[in-house]
Amino acid sequence: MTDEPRTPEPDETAPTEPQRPKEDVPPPSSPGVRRLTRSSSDKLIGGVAGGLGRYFGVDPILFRIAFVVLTFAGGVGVLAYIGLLAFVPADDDSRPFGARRDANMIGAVLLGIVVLLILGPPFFFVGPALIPIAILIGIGILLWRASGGAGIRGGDPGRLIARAVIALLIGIAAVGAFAGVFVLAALGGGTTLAVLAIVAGVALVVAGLSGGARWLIAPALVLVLPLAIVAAADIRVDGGVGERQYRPVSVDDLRPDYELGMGQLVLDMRDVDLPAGTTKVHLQLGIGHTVVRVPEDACLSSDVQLGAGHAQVLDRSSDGLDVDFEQASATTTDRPRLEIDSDLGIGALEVVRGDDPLPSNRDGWWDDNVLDGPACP
Amino acid sequence: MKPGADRVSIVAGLAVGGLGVVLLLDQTGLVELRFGYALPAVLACVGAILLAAGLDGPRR
Repeated sequence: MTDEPRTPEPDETAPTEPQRPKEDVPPPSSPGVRRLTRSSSDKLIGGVAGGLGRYFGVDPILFRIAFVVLTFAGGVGVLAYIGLLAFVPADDDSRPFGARRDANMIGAVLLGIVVLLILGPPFFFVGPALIPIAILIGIGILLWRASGGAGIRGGDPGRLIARAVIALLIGIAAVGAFAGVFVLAALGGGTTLAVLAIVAGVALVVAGLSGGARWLIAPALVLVLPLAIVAAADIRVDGGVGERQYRPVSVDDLRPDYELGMGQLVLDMRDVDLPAGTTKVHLQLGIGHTVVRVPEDACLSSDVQLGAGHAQVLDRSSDGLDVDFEQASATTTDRPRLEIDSDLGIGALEVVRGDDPLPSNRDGWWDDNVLDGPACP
Repeated sequence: MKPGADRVSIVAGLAVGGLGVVLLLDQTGLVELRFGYALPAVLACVGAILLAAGLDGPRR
């Protein structure tokens, strides 16, 4: 007899138990490789959790819970979901997200909305940290599209690599132009650049009425975006670059204004015997770190304006975007009074009393609980 | 709209030009731009361009 009993071959088309992991069972579309796809049958929104559950062989509800929990942890869950929605193809549609213009557009708008929501309270403290993540996702989508999007599978690898390299070079050039415009604007060329932006806008409209000039859109954005950052943070780097340390020994040595464009500005007033009444000091820093040590016996009043970063004045601290606070001391005391008016673009400000340690030198970066609190000791 | 006109370029021009006007006002001191206003304005500008490009489709 030739009809020997044989072990039946696994039938990939046979129905399988639901939620069972398909180990070593490659999808028909890519033999030998187990692909992560979004589930079209087990989905609540985009099938991301269903696809992850099927891929890892666990109940998709675990991933849904994780997404919800991470969403309340600063919106990370939403960003992760949108990222997976963007790059993971559906199991019933081989086209990934980047190949569909409408989905691409919706994703970009959603990302913008998410970033805006995260920037507001109560997620303000983590919002700025997520902006780089959103930017990286955006760059990833652009590179994906520039390299061919859906055409990657089955395409000519050499051509795809060439396209990716060209896209990367264009990206580097754009970053260089961005930095150049940023510096020009911070050096005081903001008015000229704003006029150029208006001219570019008018040129785009005129060109659009006569057929269009879409190539001009990217340069116009590279012109206007860094200018907007410089303007919003009120950055001025014309005060010089480097490290400046001032340690006046008397009130005669004390200047009314201390200015630096970019770097570290240290003003140590421990040796100054302030006279009765009010002494005013103005600090201006474009980008960098400012440290101020005030005399032990002085009452301190401060007016802090910081575009983006962290400011700590004695026991008062604030961080994020548009930091703006005032701290007033009593005017009835006989002690000398020091008023510090500080305008910073991007960076950090630390105001400490006497020999107190700087909070940024402690472990864990900023330690808000190490300084003497009272504005008047 | 005029035949042959490119909607995306027009929207981008209006958005960039509008931002340029706001930035010029800030430079002249007529308004004080902060991140709270600048960031949504920039995102709205980019979003408007993406929206126009998405609705218009690829260039022929």
